[in-house]
Amino acid sequence: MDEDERSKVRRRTFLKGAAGALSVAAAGCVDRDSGAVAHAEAAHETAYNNCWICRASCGQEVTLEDGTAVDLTGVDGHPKASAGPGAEGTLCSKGLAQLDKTYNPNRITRPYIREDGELRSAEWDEAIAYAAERLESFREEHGPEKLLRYQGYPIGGEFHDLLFRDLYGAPIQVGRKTTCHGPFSDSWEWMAGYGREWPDWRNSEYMIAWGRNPMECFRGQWEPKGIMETIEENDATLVCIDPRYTKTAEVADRWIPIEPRTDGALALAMGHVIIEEGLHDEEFIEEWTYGFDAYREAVADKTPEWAAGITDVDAETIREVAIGFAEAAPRAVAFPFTGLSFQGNGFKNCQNVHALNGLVGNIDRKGGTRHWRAGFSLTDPFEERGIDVPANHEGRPTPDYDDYPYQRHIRDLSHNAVPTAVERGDIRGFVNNWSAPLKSGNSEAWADALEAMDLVITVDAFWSGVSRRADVVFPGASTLEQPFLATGGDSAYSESGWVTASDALIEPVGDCRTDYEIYSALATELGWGEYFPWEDAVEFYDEQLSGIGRSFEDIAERSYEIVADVKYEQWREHGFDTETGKFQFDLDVVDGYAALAEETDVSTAPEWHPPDDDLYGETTDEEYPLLLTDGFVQQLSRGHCQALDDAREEYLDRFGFRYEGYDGNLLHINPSDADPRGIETGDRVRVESPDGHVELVAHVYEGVRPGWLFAVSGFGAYSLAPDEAGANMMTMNTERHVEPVSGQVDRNLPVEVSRVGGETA
Amino acid sequence: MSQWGFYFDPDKCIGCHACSQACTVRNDIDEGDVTWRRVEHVGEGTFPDYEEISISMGCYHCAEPECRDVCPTHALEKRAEDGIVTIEQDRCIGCNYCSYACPYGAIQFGEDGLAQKCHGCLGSGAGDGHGSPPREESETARETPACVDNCVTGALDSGPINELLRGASTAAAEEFRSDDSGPAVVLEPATGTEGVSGDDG
Amino acid sequence: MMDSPDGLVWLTQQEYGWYIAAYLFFSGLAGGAYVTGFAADVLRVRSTDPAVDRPMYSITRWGTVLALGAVGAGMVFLLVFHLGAPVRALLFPILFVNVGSWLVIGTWIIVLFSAVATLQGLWVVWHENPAGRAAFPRVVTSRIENRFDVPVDSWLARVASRTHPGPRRRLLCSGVGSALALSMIAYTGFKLGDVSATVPLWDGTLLPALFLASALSIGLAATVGVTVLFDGVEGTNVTAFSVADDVVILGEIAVLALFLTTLASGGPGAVSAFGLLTEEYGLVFWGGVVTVGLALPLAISVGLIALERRVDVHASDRLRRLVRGTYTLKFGFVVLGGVALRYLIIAAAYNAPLST
Repeated sequence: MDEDERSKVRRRTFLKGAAGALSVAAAGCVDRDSGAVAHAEAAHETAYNNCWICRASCGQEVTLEDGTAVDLTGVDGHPKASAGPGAEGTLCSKGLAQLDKTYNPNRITRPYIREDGELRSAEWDEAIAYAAERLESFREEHGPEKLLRYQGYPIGGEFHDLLFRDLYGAPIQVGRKTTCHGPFSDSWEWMAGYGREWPDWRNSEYMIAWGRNPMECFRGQWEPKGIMETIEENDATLVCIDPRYTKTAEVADRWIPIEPRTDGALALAMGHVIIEEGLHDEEFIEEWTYGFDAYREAVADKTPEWAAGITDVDAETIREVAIGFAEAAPRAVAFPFTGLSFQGNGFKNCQNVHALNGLVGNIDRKGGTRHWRAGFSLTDPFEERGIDVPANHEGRPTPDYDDYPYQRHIRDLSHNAVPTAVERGDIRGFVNNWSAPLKSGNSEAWADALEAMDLVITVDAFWSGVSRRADVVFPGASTLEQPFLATGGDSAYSESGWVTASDALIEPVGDCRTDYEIYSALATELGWGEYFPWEDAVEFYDEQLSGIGRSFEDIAERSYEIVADVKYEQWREHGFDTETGKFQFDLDVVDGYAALAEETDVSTAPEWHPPDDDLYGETTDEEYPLLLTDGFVQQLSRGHCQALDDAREEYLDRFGFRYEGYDGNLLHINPSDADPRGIETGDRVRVESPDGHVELVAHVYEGVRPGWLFAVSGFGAYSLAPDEAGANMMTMNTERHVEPVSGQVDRNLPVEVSRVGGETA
Repeated sequence: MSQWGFYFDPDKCIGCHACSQACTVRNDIDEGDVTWRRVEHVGEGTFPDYEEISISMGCYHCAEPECRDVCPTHALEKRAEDGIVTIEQDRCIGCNYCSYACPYGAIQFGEDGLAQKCHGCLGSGAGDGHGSPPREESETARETPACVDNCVTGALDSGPINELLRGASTAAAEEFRSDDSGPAVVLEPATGTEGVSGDDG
Repeated sequence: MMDSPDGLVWLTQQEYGWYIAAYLFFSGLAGGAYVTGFAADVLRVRSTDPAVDRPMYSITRWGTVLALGAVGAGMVFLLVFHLGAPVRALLFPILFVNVGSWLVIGTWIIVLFSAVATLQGLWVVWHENPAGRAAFPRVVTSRIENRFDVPVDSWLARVASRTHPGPRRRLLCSGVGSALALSMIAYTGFKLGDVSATVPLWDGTLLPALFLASALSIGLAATVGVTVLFDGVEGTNVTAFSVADDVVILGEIAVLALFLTTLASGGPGAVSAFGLLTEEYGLVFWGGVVTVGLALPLAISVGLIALERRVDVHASDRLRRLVRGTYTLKFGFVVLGGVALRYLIIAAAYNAPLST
């Protein structure tokens, strides 16, 4: 049997058990784990909660036993957790690991303050007083404009903003558009006038998941459920464009493993075909769009043959997809996301893909891309109570970063620019709320910056590169321990807005406190107690909900309510919130972008822009011949699931590493790249870029495009993975790795890989 | 006896591991090495004609359980009322013979060295299955097991086999009926993807 | 699995650890040693040459003592290291109710064998004159008797003589013990082979045959080897035994060859097992099992036979020692090969894959 073909089998460590065997055997007749409770006797109840692991708010039905949460599942009919009215609610594997998160023994459960250079645990009063004192002297010495705000997935985010932005007066924050989806959302915002589009999957007949993995990374169960349902009921087509064979590729009708970063060319060619075939929505284009002529001109010579040479996608395939997409329109959607957002040339690529939706007129139409809204607003409790909240951040001096192309026109500070800002003295402090910035961009520079700062305060749950460098660590409560309220938005209810809420189900673990408790205590200490008059977040949410005639308890009892109707084609009534009031193919009317475009010699209309080793991403070469991207998988959300044994084990199990004694992320590499380098699955490998190197374990398989490498982010140095297992790709990321239009971190690095001696464990 | 079993459609499975995590959570399984249910990701082909199928696997409560046949103490038994195969923890001597007999790798061993596996959520935790009353009369059994409760796409289902057969495709039903000594699982055929796109280059 | 993209579901290896390999080794050794002892017993009784009386008896003694020691060692590995609830297993007379399980059948075989072997041990060590190194347990008990004034040795001798059924019947009883010994060797093969559908490496017919050949070989090698080591080559008919071992080895080679071809031409699981044995574990297989365990012993044997044809090995002390050492080496290799084989039978045991 050929060595290459011989199947590699998996094994548990053969000699496992030798050491522990004696102690086990000595126990003789071993009774089963006494932890298993006789259920019939225990007090058993179910209650509702909301999942915030990936920030989708899926309704959770939690089983409690004597005040301890022991089991959970999704809430039936929930807008996020189910497929719609009457449908069964489920939770994904991340949501199911909530118990591991809440009861994790590694959780930070007490406040910590830094004394004589060392972090030590403290009582709440002491920690609050200490933090307040440090904040006051910071303000005196540096001014509030030098305090950077950073929020990740906060539960009480509005309280953090109220305290630090409105009251304390810190104007600068790092926006998620520079760590997550800038190219995608900035382009869409300029083209269509609203924040983020999201597909109406459930009703769609032709779906292109473009650098998007909805079967694994979804904003609630409703996405994969909706996609599977429309495939079954409407015989819908799903196309997956991704250099990686994801679970989306698994259920898709087509997997297009495109040459990375060439998505813009593919989109233009598709536009070319659609116009050539006359399948574009003439009426919509005529009445509701601006700049179509520029678009038509831009795609005039972008034939599928032209694109095939660039994208490595068959010209025939390009035609078929374009025609299939356009014929199914308006019940069709081309949806780019993280895959394109992480690219140095991602802005133009996204613009080109977004343009396709305008071209076939599927915007805010059934089965197309949807302008999801809650459709109602909540009461402003401050207004109700006549509390005049100051805006102390307005008018504060902010630094001038005109030497950065994007800083001129993006609202918040770009993540990768923060270390320089610290170096220049523009930022000297940092307040973090449930975020892990050291996985989001230039980690090394950021770590140094944190250490250089005068004051770092964080609300956190696990020890990480940030919390270890903090001056004050406040232990935050998990969703099971705090009240929750969310409205929206994208869900299984295509034409409705909803609200979901839940109360705390268990006492906070250890000494943890809710977001509201933390921020109100801090505010009070700083003399702003009057702005936090509510007893707890429940009272606040209650007042918010009065605007729709509900009480907090009303909603929390039922987990959710469908509140408003949100029609399709909202643009008929309000137009598009853009400069021209229309959907803009050409962004020449967006002043900030137009200026940048001219400066960098780029068209404002859709255009193919390859990485250029200048502003728009670095190319591979002989020395660094492989392209590395890091991203996400279903089992791990962003930067915190890595701390949970359960979640990590499911991830490793997926790739056959459950029993290997290796706890970190894997480098996924195609055999055609691995074989010449003598790399096999399980080998330790070294990934090297011009700016650094990391080491992790390889997983060799055919599911990644040759010449391209993938790894899950959130592991390694500075992460909250136990023992910082695995590798943090962002330690090779530097300030210059930025997409110049949105300021989004560019996570595509040219690298070389080599085998390092030694096995996995 | 109304055999209780599983239904599984690999075309719907998205390999998300909600089922394996749900089982771990409900049965309070602490040890990372123990998985009563797991998801196998089966790859086939070479890039770009590469495909994966995800399969959720656990104990299938076979009609003629190999594990029970080799167990020296009859710790493994197939219940009369629903055909679920349970393990009486107090009779198990931890000889591991059953785990070699099971073609599906369903039997797991914890640190106590005793056999444990899926019991269809007749209770929660190792050993809870044995001696439990029939599901309808039990206070601890859940109507649907944890894995089914959280299968995101509905690829996994469970219940009396006759009911599952009624909801299954003809092909799956026929396949099940063709072998009556095997696993109590109604398995839809895996059709996979129609075609993957790739260039010659 | 993703990194062997053949569309098959490859399952994780199960839990048997190295201690089961140790158990298989010792139980096989016990069976083979006992049978060897019995063979020597029969040869002694049927021989008319009084000079072979003591050496043959020595072999019988060693065979019995080794068998008992090996069974004990095997039990230690089984109970102390392997079983999750070993104390529970001691309740086997009431707990092991599944008579259809080879594990239950095997347990009774081992128990009965141990009983018979213990009796034999008692008779051949404490009834006859305590001559020869094989009777070392006697040395121990008499020392205890002398040092601590506990009449262990005399008591055992008295029990032995009281219960001794006479030479003929003792031989008969030993014959029964031999049958049990062979069953003990074979049942492990049947036990593992019973699940050959799941573990293709454990072929239902060939594995018992392989175990039988191997156990006889290592039992013989161990017994005769130890005898030669301690009691010399005179009159022990070591050459005949060595040749007998060679014959068994040849048989083992034949079975092994058949075993490999069966695996290589089987389904994906069997083919994978073949690959594991011959490539991934190639060093242990080709080096340990084949070279050390089969080829080298045969080669040494041929060399020794040739030497003995040419030269009178009893002529000089040096030659005698050389021959003694060489035989010991040969038998040692055989035993090591047996260890390697048992290790592989467990290490390379993987579930047959499922197809999608």
